[in-house]
Amino acid sequence: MKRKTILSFITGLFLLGGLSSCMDLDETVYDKLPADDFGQSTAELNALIGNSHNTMKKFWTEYMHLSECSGSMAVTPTRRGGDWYDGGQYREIYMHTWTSQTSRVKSAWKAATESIGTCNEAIRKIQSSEILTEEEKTQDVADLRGVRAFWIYVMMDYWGNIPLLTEFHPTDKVFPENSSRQEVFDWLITEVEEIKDICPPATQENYGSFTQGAAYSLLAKLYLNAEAWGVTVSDNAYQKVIEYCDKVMAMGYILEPNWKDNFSVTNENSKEAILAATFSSSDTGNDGNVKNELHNNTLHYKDYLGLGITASGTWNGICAQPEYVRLFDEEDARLDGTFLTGLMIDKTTGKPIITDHNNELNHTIDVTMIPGMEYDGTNWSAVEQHDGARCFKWEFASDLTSSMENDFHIFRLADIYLMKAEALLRGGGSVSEATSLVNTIRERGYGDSSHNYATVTLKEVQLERRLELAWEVYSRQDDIRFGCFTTGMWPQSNCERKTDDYLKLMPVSQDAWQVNPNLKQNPGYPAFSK
Amino acid sequence: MQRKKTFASFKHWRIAIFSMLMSLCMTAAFAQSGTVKGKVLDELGEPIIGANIVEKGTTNGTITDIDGNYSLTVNDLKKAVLQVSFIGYNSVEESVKGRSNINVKLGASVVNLGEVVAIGYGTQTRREITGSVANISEENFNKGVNRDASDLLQGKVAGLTITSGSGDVTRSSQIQLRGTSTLQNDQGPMIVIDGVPGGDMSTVSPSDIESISVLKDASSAAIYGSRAAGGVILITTKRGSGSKTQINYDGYVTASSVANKPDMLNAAEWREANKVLGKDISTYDKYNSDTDWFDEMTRVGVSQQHAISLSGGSSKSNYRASYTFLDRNGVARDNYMTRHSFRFQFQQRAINDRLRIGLTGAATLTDMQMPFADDYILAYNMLPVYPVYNEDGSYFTDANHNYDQGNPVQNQDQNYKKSANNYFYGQGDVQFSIIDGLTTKVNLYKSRFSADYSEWQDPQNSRGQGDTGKAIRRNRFWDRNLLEWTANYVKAFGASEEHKVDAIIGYSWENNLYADQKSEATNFAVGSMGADNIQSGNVLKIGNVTSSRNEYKLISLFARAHYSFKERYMITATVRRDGSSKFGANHKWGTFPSVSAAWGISQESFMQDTEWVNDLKLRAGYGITGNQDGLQPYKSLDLYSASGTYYNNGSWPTAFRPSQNANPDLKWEQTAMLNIGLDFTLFNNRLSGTIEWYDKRTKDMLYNYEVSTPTYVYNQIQANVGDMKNTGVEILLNLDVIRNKNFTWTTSLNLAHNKNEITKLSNELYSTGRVYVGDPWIRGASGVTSHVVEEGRPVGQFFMLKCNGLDENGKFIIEDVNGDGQITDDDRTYVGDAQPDLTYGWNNTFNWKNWDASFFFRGTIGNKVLNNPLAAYGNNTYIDGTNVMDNENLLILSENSRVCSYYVENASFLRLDNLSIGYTFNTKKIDWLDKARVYVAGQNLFVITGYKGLDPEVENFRGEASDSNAGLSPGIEPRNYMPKARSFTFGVNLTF
Repeated sequence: MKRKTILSFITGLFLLGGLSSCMDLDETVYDKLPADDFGQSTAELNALIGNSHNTMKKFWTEYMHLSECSGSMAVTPTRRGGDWYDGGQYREIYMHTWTSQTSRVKSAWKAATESIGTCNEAIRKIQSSEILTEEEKTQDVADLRGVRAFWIYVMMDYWGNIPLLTEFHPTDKVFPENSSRQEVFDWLITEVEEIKDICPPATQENYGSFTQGAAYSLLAKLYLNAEAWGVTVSDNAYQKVIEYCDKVMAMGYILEPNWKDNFSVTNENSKEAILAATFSSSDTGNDGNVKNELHNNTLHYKDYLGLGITASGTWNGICAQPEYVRLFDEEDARLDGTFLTGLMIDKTTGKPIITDHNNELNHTIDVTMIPGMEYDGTNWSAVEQHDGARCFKWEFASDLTSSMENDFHIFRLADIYLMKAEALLRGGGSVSEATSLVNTIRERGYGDSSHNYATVTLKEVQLERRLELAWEVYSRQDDIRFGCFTTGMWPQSNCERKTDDYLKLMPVSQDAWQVNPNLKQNPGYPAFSK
Repeated sequence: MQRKKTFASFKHWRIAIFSMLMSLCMTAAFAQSGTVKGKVLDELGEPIIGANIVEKGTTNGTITDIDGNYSLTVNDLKKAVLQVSFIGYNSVEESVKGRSNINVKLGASVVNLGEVVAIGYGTQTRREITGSVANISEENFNKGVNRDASDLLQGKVAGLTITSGSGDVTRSSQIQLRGTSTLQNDQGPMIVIDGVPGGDMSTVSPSDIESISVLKDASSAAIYGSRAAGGVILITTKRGSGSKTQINYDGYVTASSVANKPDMLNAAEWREANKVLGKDISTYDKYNSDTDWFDEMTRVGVSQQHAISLSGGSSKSNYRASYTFLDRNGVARDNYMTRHSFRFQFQQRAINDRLRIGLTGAATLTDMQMPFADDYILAYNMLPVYPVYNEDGSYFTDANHNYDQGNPVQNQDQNYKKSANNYFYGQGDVQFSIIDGLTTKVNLYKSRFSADYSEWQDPQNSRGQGDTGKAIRRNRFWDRNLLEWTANYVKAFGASEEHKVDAIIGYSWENNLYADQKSEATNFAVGSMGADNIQSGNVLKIGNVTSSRNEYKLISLFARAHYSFKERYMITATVRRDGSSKFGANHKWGTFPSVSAAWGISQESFMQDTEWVNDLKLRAGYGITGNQDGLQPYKSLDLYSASGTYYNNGSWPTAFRPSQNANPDLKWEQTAMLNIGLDFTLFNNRLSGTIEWYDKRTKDMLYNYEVSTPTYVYNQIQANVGDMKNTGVEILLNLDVIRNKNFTWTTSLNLAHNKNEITKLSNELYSTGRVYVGDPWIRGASGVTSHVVEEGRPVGQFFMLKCNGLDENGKFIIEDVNGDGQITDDDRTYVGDAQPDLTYGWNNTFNWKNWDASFFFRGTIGNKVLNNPLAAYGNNTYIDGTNVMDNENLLILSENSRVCSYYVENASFLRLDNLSIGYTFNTKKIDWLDKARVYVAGQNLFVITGYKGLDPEVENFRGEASDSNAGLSPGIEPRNYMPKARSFTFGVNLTF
């Protein structure tokens, strides 16, 4: 009896173990889509391509400070009381003393490499799709290759020698070495040449995609900067710039008659935009859903009372380098269209706004370092809260809260005009054509032709670029190309920049080396070590 | 992965039915029932009143009367064994062997070796235990206002750190056993309530708890497998026993006030300080109040609890029903919690007592309001000259547009964060005794926890003005289904039953479901309806309405065997095999074995003459446990998820992206622990204690490790890489200082030392250097970190610029650590850590005639805390526009605060945590009243510390344990810190 009981018991246990459902660990995935199920419709694939387009939003959020403040356009000064010192990272960017640990350098590297990885993954997914026609596939892949090429171009511009990994490896761990700037440049030329005519056509419907217009613009950028980058080009580079700018100019883009339409809340309607990072006021900042927070970065936290917008609690950060603002002629409408200056009046009370330091909120063009507040043995000192001209180029919507609806145009037609003018001058082309191109831009800025040039040199082209393209993430690249990268436009600060030539390349991020020891640091910077 | 709908759960019920039928097929033999009577006496021959007599293996029992007499009807006069127990005495077992009159003598002891202690999937007497198990029963619980088991236990168990770091009464304590052993989502020990693993402490009212066991070492916890690495806390609730019907009432009223608030400048001091510094503050001349904003935001919170229970039964059945009402009001004006707890238990025996069916139902209904912690930032910044109200009685709002300022009283009145939480569970168990010694049991459990959350930020005040009003509604629920089957075999054999075997095997299946729905809207032109009419918000963006749902399963097989010889040599071995759907495809199942042995030295014949030794036991155990709290469902899988929107020719469709870097190798963290302990009872049972040493090594630590992009899409992947080590010593001493008829004084001291070290963060696939964590945040130091996670360093390692005081100009003297002549990030260095060298608790209880009293100290030695409020607000940089904290260097320090060692302080402390005095009335002459006791208790009475901030005991993390890097930067007093309370309680216990 006893024995039987025990036996039946053990049998019972084995039965239990044997029933498969008792040991079944399958889980139901409810709120996400398993990779094998995803991509069964064009809507799903478009959603993936859309995500790759969205990576370009990070160019605005991660590179604006780095470009404009290492160049001559803007600065994030330390405010009296310590705001924005933040361990000295903004001082390092202005004074060119950045290291492989500087957080803006690291986050910019991360943004670019993650974007490249995102594109690689999407390309693989599209290529393996069984629902798209070959034609659809070719165009979709070309679009994604374009976005990826844009990011590789950005990395080559900032870091020169970068890992070039253009395949998605879901399981193998690949630790690429740096390719030289020349290798990356050559790869880019080949890649973009290959896709330039199979990308989506340059139509309003394709706004936000990497279109043929974007491909030709990128090629023009590559050739225009080749000399400054120190890479060799088989063709006549400036001739190529002219050729490709002409291509773009023939694609149906127009210079918006109202300059400000490029920066309005609804600037997706601009017919001047060639490549765009499309932002929405619904962007949350979560799950890779990048927000346009320009207002937070630049406006004083009480500016909203004077501007009559809802966004309170802005962060009082970046402002213009004073002498950059002074390049603008009083009569140039782009001055007030680019900068917020002067005394801020509270719209409800009609009285001047007072800061926490008991000062009137007057955005002076001058940014004045207060003696006795120097940091860490440098000349870098704090400035008053209200100092500095703020970015006022993109319209602040009256109902603006946490994220701006305004898109950022990475490439727009005015830039193409000025690139062509520059190429004509650098390549020994027609000066009169260059003059006419610059004057077209200038005339729109001033509202009439009274300030047109009779003839232009590179100096006028550079000035016009600065007037036209302030805050548009060109300053570093332009300053390197025009040879003025070592001097900022804030002489009053007494903060001399480091002038070494190697600083034209950013240091490779320490974080990147930590996970990929095959990476080499750029020349001039200390070699990597723990 | 294929998504399929299974009827898995249905299949599991089939097994349950199968097991039951199998059990029922067994037949039973007849037994002879009868009544046993007798007396229970103490060593001096005095009767013991209220001693428990229980028939072993049943819930059939009774209590002795005022003369120590009892009478109990047992099922089988031949076989029944009586267990006699009383607080403060060693329990005794007596086999009835056909007798009808049995007198029992109990010996007093500071530790009750015969006490039955809950262990995983069973019980053991303290004498038999081979692992490290601490047991705290009702008489040793903390007194006063208590929300849950953690409040009852705080400071009582060596090695168990319970931190209640904030005065917010809705916030749970943070619990850690034997140091931190994980880098992600440290949930502390797993909670097991009446045998159901994975419970929530808040579902059991403190007045329903009989005892709490803490499984401290891996050999005792390993039977819980992949969830036991953080230790296990077993909560046993009270049950009805015997034939006596008992009604209990337990009520108290508590008044709480702020224990300590920041020392801010008052109006005159602020004006004077500005004058000294030469600041022009004439703009503020029009304000002439003198407001202490912390006073305005706080109050005396009055709380009350009323618990009533009813219990009883017969020899075949027992029941207990209880209801507890807790109304707790915090010291912050906008902080409360009201909780109704219902619990019902019923057990019935049948088929000659071979079958036992039990049912439990519990409901916990909580309404609470959480404060906005950031309102305390406003209180630091608001000038004392500002009033709370304007002269016309309206709120003062002039400062509502200033940075980090605004009227916090207005915020408290107009904004809210409320939650209505419901926790229901039902449990049914069927136990069948197949043959003598062999029982099988099926346990079924279902619970549902739901939380209905409302938040409102009013457009009129500084918090809501930016969005012109904001409302959030959120509903979440968590479902658990559990099926458990066990078979247990207990047998003593040999001539005098000197060999004893106790074995159990089991299977368990559980699944967990979570669902979340959230809506928010902003821009309320009409704000008066708050979050109750979310559609009156004018702005509803994409992403403002979200939902999610996930599920995971855990399937386990487990077994334990225990053998003891004459209580002299004991050995226990356990094994558990856990499979979890959260694990990656390559590691679905893990095995967690353990073995432990004990030597009852005092039971040896050569020790029989050593009279000063009453009991001596040496234990050693080794086991492997796991932790999977860091793993969220689906983390190992290749998935796509929605991510914002993308622009498509005028419309904004939803974008999709890969959710994560998938890792099919994901698995549990594994912790191996060696534990050696010595239990002793000496000097006629007057001194007892335990000394333990352990070495705990965690490997395959889950963390979001950095990886290279590309190839990966994202720069982090969750993986099992790092190792961590904790070693420590724990000492527990109980001493009967004085023991005589009228007066007893018992003192108990526990000490714990733990050393934590991260030993590895890299392997062949992942390489991690120093991870910078901790974001204390002061102005001008965004992104400046305070801690590092690094090989060779403990969790909680402070790493920052080293400050050697202030120079003659009032500037920090920062040490140029690398000697390059300038101060940069490279000069940051190690400046102490947040983990204490020693934690201790010291309890004293006194009994004098009808009076009882106790006091309880606890504290730490050797830990550091970053005084971040001082860094953020103890600086005169903004004194012309904001208030500041008073401190000795307020006028001397002449530069902006920075994250540096100047603000890292020694936070060793000694706290008088609990003091209580009670009086028990003589109720011998009142036949309807068994017991009546009144008491007063004080909590958090004072703290002795060198720490200059508010309170040296701070939470390990803010927010949720699941937040990224939560717990990796402990020891920061946050600037949005809500003050703690000091409480005084008056309470009554009545038993009818």
